[in-house]
Amino acid sequence: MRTFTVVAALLASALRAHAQDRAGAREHEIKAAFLLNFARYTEWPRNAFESDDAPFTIAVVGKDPFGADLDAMLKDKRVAGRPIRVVRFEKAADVRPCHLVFVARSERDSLSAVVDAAKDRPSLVVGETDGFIGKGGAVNFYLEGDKVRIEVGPDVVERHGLRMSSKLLRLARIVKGK
Amino acid sequence: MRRLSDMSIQAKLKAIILATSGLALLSASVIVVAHDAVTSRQRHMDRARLLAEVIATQSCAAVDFDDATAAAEVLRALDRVKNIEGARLFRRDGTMLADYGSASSMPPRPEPGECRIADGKVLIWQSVRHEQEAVGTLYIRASLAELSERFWLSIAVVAGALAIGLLVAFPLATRLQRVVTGPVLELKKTMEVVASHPDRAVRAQKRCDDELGALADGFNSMLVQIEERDTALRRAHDDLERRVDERTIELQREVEERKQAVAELRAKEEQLVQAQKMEAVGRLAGGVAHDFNNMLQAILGFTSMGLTVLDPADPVHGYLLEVQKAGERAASLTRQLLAFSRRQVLQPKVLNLNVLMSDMQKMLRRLIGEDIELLLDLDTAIRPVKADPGQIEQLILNLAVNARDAMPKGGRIVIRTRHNDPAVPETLSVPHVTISVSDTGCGMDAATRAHLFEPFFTTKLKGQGTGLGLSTVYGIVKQSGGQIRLDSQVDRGTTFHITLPCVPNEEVRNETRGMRPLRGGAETILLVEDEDTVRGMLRGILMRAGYRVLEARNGRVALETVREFHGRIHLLLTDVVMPVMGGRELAERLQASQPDLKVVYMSGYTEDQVVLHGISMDRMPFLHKPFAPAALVAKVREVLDVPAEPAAVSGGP
Repeated sequence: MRTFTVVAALLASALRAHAQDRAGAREHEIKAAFLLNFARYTEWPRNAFESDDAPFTIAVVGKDPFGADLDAMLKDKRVAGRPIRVVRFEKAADVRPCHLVFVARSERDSLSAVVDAAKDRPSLVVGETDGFIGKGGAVNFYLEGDKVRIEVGPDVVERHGLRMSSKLLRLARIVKGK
Repeated sequence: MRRLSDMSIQAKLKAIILATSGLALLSASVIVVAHDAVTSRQRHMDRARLLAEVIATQSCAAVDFDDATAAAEVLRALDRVKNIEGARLFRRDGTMLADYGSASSMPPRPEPGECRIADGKVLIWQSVRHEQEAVGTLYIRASLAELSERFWLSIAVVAGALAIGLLVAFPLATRLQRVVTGPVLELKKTMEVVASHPDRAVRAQKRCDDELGALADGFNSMLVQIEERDTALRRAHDDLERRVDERTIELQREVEERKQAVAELRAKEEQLVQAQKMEAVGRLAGGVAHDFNNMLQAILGFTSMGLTVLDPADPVHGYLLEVQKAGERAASLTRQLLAFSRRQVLQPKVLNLNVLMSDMQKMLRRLIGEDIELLLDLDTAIRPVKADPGQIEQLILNLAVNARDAMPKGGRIVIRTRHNDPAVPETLSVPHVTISVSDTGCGMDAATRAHLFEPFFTTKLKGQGTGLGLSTVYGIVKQSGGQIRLDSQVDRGTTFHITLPCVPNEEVRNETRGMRPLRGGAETILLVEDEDTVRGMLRGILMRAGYRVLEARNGRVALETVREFHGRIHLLLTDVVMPVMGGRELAERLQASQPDLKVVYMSGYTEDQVVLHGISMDRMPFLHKPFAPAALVAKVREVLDVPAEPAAVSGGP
């Protein structure tokens, strides 16, 4: 038993070393997990879905930083009992309303288009650009050291008819929205 | 340490109450504390679990978002909860996300397992879930120090409660035990009082109606019973003692009576022996004296005849006078002997002893001389006695002479008469007179007293006393139906008490014995006497007096003589006691044919024997031998001169 514990500990430290090598990849991995978490810690009104078994849609706008990882990660995952569907939009202008919209850094200059597209819709718009919330975004990733942090504009979330869990709000930096 | 059973009831009750209440309190407290301990563990566990759930809920977002800072922040909320030693949040993949408290001894990985208590710690494993999906694991370790603190606090509280309880229970027990022990102690006190005082009238007070009351009642009834038994026992004891005392007194009295009876018997025996001795001596003396008397009768008779015949100038006349004197002395001596032997014929008269004493006074004074004082103490209340005055005179003279001889240096003689003298015991039961003759002389010792009345016993020098004085006194008293007693001690003087019965009725007769001149006569006298010399002497006296004398040797011969004699016989002079036909029978026979025949009896025997022969001296003329010729002549004349009175001579049985 003791031997097993020692072996397990050695194995764990080896894995950690490997993960640090891949820090860049890990950032988006985390962001992907966070996206799911956002979906899970936020309530969408009933009318946001076409039917009871309609999927939860996540849109990735701009240059996709997650790649297939996201799909893999979200596969078999459910949000409020609904399957998850990921849609990707090359340009911000193409955006159609989805339940959760992630705006990649590549679209930092055309944020308003996305915001506009989601305006008055039950959509949670997530970005990874400084000052995103000031530009109409609801949630924004930022880096603190090597750690991925989030900031939320609760009034923006509310304006979209969504209710974000206080647990999530407690983790995030609250920013006053536009 | 004293055993519980040896302690006083008070202490016992107190101990029991305290022990019971203490034990009850203690057990209640132990149950409460134990229950508290058990439930508080569970509660602790539940609370820790609840806490873990809360923390898990709070931290699920932080775990989900892998936000170690936020997680740590959530864990920091445990600050406000006591006894939390540490907590750790694990990610979904089992790596550590955040710590709280000391990181040491935290498990590096989540361990599958339940919440449990180990080593005084509560270990909680709580999965962190978000909408049923496990996102991580929370580990909380809480110390049970609070529990043990709480436990010890409970113990302290219990101890305090126990102490306070006992503190309250102690005075309460002291008060309560009095309810029980009060009556018991009182009973005990009563018992001690009863035990220390014999007075069992003490009773226990009944205070209550419980078993102790019943005990007091029982005790009291027991006391009553004991008292009753005591009383009965004491009564029985007293009764027994009284009976023993009575019996003892009775026995003592019986012993005394027996002693007295023995003493009396012995005295009676002595008296009997003495009386027998006296009787024997008296008989001897009497026998001798009787014969002497007859001889003296002859001597004196013939001497008297000689003297009448002879011329007083004749020298033989003088000799005969000497013979007569000596003869008279011998006669006197013989008379005394006869008196002692009680064979003297008494001539009793009714007489007043006071008169006799007074008459004797002069003569007594002369007799006792001038050195001795004589006092007469005469009781005028005395009644006459019947006695021979000459004998009584003789008796007093003898006693006076003895008294005088007891007082050679002088003294005093007291003669006292008393009627029924109470000072003299053992006297007669009939009315009597006591003559006491006391002197202040040398007295007598016991040996002298024992032989005092024996004839020829004398303390005087030879030739000074005959030894017949007191024996004569004794004889006279006895013959007179009296008693004599003697009180004498050496150097204390002597008193003789002579007691004589009184005359029953006043048959005081004036005995006028005329002192007539001696006269003879010419009558015919039949002289019957068995003793030849006496008969001859008497015949001579009578013939010289002028009488015609017929004589006979005894009664039968006398009858023949009378038959052959053809003349008148005027008087019969006869001896009483004769071998063939005594005087009495002779007189009766002769008087049968000649009723006016006068009779004069003669005898040398005592009155008793004379009376036996049918002679009553009171009624019949009687001469006691030896008698003087003049007495014979006077007697004969006196009888012949009595007028013929058939009744006077035909008396007799």
